[in-house]
Amino acid sequence: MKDSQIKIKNLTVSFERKKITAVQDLNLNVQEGEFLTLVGTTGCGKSTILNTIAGFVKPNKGNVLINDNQIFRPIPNIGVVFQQHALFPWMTVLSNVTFGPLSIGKTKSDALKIAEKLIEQVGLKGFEQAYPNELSGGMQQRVGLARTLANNPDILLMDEPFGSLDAQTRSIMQELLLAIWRGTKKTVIFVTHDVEEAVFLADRVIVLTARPARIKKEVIVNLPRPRKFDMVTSTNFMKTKKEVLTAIREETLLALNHSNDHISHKRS
Amino acid sequence: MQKTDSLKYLRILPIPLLIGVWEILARAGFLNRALFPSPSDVVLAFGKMTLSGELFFDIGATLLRVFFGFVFGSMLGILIGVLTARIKILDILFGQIIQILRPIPPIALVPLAVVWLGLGEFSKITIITWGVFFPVWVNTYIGVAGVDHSVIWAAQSLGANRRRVLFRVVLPASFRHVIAGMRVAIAIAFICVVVAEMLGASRGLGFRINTSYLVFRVDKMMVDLIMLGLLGAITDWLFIQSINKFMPWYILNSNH
Repeated sequence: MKDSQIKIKNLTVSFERKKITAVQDLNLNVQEGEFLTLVGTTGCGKSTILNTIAGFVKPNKGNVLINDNQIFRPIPNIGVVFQQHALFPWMTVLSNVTFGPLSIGKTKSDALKIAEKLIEQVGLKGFEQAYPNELSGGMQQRVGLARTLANNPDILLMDEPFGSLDAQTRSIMQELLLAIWRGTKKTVIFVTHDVEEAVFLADRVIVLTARPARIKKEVIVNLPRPRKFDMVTSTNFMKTKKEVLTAIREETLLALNHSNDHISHKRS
Repeated sequence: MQKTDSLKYLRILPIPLLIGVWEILARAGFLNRALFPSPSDVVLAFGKMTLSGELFFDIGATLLRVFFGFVFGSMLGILIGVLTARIKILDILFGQIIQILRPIPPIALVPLAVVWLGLGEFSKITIITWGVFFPVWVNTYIGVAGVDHSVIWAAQSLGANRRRVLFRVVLPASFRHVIAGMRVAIAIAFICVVVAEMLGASRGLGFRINTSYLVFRVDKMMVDLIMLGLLGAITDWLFIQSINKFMPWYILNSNH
């Protein structure tokens, strides 16, 4: 078996100010070209794992290795798509997408070429001169995707990127993402709390425990590629979804009981 | 459409009404015309002051002081605001000093400025710079310190170096606050210039108001006061217009 591209070893991340351990002793390997989704209850530390892989957050213990190199800071080879798109509202769509290539030393004409191609690929041709706030939520997230892809990173980290979109737009965005992934074979780690989304997209679904995040369950998704939107009604999909849902539900209940205990302790 | 139009006229209506009533009261002898010159007296004074060149001479002097004070104060405010918000050690070293100096009304410093720096342009511009600095500094600080970390992370992961993150992301992201600080500063600059001119100058609108007071020319005082009001409004309007022109995204974000 090939050596993993992303290796997470004994990762522990805590936030001193809030006295919270977000992630504890997490071990996870991701293969090159794999589409991995992370699911868990809200506030379980999913985003923290992603932010640590991205190099935004420093771990207290353990480390993240990308191609056997430890990550200390953000690098352009790891692209990040954010939950609230995090576009630069003071730049046009075109400038948002050329920002990456220009940051890593590409010439202006190269950056423009890359950007125009990607803007077309995500279906926003004609909106190059628009500002992000003039676009709908789905279009903003398309720009976010194009901006991240502009540096052609080997790894894509996505933090609930479609969470704020309506169901129809979300489904179209999922297919767009899968089409791009199929064409480029990038490694994707995709965080979501939507179980259906997690199963639909992934080769492998990781269910996390309630905070601090550890791996609760690993589910391999045996559905044919390319995935089609109507697959979500197939028996195989349902079976996988149920498996993931059951694991998450257990954790949610545990988390609820835990916080109830906490409250009763405080009262007594 | 028609309704809003007629409402718009209603809004302006009190102005000619007030001027008319004032004119009638002054002419009918109900008011002492030396104390309460009629609107037509004020217009007459305006004509004379314009013809003699006095008015534009004063406006020019005042505007130049405001301009330099505003530019220096804003530049300093933005520079130190960015530095104290981004570099923790500078914040610890200088934050307290600035906080202690901030509540001192700049007007109260005019006599000190005259004693230390004399009656020339330098002392006046210094006072205005001082007055402009604080609101710009405070707002820049709040803006820069409050930039959403996700846009900074986005820029970093796209490969931007520190300089690029600062100039292309942090500064534009905090612009809304900087602009707000600068608008407040425009009003403060006019307050400062008038007081500085009243306490020692040979030209300027503040100086002229003071001399008109000494020789009891209320009509001339009125002209200069109206000019100050107009200049303040026009400056603010020009400022906003230029922002909208050069930073179209600013208006797009502020929903008005």
